[in-house]
Amino acid sequence: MPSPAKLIYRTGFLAQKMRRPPVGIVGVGAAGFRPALRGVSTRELMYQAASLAYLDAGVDPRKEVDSFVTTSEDLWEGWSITDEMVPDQLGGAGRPVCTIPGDAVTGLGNAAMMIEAGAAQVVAVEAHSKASDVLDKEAVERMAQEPTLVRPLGMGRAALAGLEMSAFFGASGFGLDDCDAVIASARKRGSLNPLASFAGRGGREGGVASSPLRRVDIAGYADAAVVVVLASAEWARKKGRQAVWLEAAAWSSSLPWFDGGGAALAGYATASFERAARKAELRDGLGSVDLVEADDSYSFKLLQHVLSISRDWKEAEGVLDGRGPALNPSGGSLAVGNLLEASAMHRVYEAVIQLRGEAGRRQIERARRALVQSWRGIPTATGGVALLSVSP
Amino acid sequence: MTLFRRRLLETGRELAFEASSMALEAAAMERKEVESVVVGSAPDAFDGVHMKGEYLLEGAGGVGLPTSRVYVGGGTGVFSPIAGWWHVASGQFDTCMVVAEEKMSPLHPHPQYAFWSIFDHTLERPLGVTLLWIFALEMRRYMQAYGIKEEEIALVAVKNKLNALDHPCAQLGAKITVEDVMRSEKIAWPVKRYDVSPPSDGAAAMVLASEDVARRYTDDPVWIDGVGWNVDTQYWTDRDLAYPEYLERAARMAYRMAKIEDPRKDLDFAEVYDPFDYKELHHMEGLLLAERGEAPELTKDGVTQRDGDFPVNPSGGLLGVGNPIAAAGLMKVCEVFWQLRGEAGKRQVRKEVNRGLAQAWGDLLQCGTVITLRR
Repeated sequence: MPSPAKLIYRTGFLAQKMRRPPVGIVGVGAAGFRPALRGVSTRELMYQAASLAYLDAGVDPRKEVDSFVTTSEDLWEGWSITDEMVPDQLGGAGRPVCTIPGDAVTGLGNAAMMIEAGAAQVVAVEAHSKASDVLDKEAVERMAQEPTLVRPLGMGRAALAGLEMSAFFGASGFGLDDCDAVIASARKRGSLNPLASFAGRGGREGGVASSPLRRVDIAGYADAAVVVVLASAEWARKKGRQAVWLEAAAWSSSLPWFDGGGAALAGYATASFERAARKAELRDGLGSVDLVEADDSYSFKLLQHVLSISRDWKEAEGVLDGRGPALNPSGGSLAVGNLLEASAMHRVYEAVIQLRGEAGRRQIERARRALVQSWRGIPTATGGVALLSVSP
Repeated sequence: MTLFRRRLLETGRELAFEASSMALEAAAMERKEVESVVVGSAPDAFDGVHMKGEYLLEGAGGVGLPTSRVYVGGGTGVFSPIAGWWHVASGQFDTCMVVAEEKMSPLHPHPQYAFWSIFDHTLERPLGVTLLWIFALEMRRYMQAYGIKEEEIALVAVKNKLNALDHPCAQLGAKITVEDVMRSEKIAWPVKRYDVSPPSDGAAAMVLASEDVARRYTDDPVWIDGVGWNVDTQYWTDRDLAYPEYLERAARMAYRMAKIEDPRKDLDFAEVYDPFDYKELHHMEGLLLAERGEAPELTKDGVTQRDGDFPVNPSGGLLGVGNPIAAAGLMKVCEVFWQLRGEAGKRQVRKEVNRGLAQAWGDLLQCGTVITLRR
């Protein structure tokens, strides 16, 4: 009888059991953040963000960055094999480059694992949106639907979101008034953020998208690029770089609500939070963090996400009412824009500058630990949680 | 791994399920013992599904688990276990299921049309280029740089298709001659029908585990001891197509980690990416398994046959087994595993083997991924 077929890596058994040295974010760069950037190509946008990140980190990418990750999805780009098109503007030509399509948490998590495994000391992770170049976003979004059973139903994202919103209201007890509060808060916070293009939207413009979902509940698209530079603790110490530490990055996929998953809670958010909290040894749930940047690409999703990562209703209500950690100080996607796969990377960027004390008028006082929660958007049930702090 | 065929009736999700189920069964593990999942699949354009990793994760066993999709075009199949490696080697997970899937048949009228989208929309697409055209350029450059004849390259197709007759999953195993290759349909000179691998549907999977977990299941492990990957500039017009420098860089990264100083001596055999017959030779040189321009000599002298001094593609390679892009690369890693374990059946190479290499190639003539394994 053949032996079990396994491919095995000899770790260093003890490495698993001991607390691993932390991985830190030593540089961030953000560029764009406008509803439509005419006259700037995707490559130029990436180059701008990367240049700023490398300047911030004090690194020469041609010599000191060991690996480069892009998190884009092909069909948003209008080409195939995104990593083929990124090396030059990231400084990665002739270096280890790859695509890990997904949100920032997955990208950062994999980059951190590259460092922890010893394959790299410094990794640059890039995310961008050039949504304004996409002529028919609905058509692209429909192609993400399962092709045999779901796509033939002919539902666009608004229809799917509207159905989920309705199911969520029924299961949770939240309603449109709560969504109005989310939108108002996003605009208020976004008004302090120079990156927020949509903070000035007023009233209930736009009407109904797919009842009960209104157009005002949906984050508008924007163009932007964000690059984050991660490094090992050893590298940061040797180079004398200050870091914001990535305590944990966890992600998960549950079943979409229309595939048997629940509507009251986002299973992916709960699972990711539990895993991240375990890794970071959070003792007091959301009481252990000073700010939360959570996905609000639809207003009701922020309610759902906060509920999903809270220990109970009381904690969730406290966060939503402003009695807990600051929620979406950036203004979230509703104010900054839906940046496609870069939405979560923007949240990471916001968390980093908050923890560094560089957030200007929207600075959260005494911010020492931040939570970033992400979701990949309709029709997925995939998202993650990252915990960042000023202490390793 | 599943069969590799021009068109399989199963959906991509079903293919991923079949392959991952087989891997779990072979490992005598249950799904609940899998802590993480890596899905490898090349352009979304083939399956016609945007965010293809999300679509495949259910079939790959990823629901409720941290699942990452990784992607470097044709290099994905070897890059997926590299990503699986860092999942385990980082200490974050004890086990990782690696699944590579490709379903090229949905694209009508022919999968080649998907490759149109890998060209830059501003600088290259207006030229009306195809992938076969650009590979024909590279093949021609390689031939011209080293004075290599088409007939010498054709020997690779003859070898690999013959090898594939012994692979139970092979799509195009056949006994052909150099003359058959030379007479086959001209596609884009000098590329002919038998010089190129077919489009295919298929999936492959493997389970990686940390040492202490593995010891519970086997006393005959196979280790990953070197990984490397590299992507060159997107502007292929700036590169000399005669030599894959990106592959040499990827190989050196893996060799450094595995402490391989002389690959021809320190390795016993290799599964080298061969979507075209000339690429086996090109890649052998980039992997430092042959001097530049000399790989055809090794083929002519029988060195790369299964009973040769340094077997290359004992599986039958992509030319014989098939080319469902990402799955093809993982098929090669699987082959190295089976050869090292002595479980390759009729494909087993004659010599004793303790260390092997698998390599894949991707993007637009620019990506090399390399993994070395040992007993």
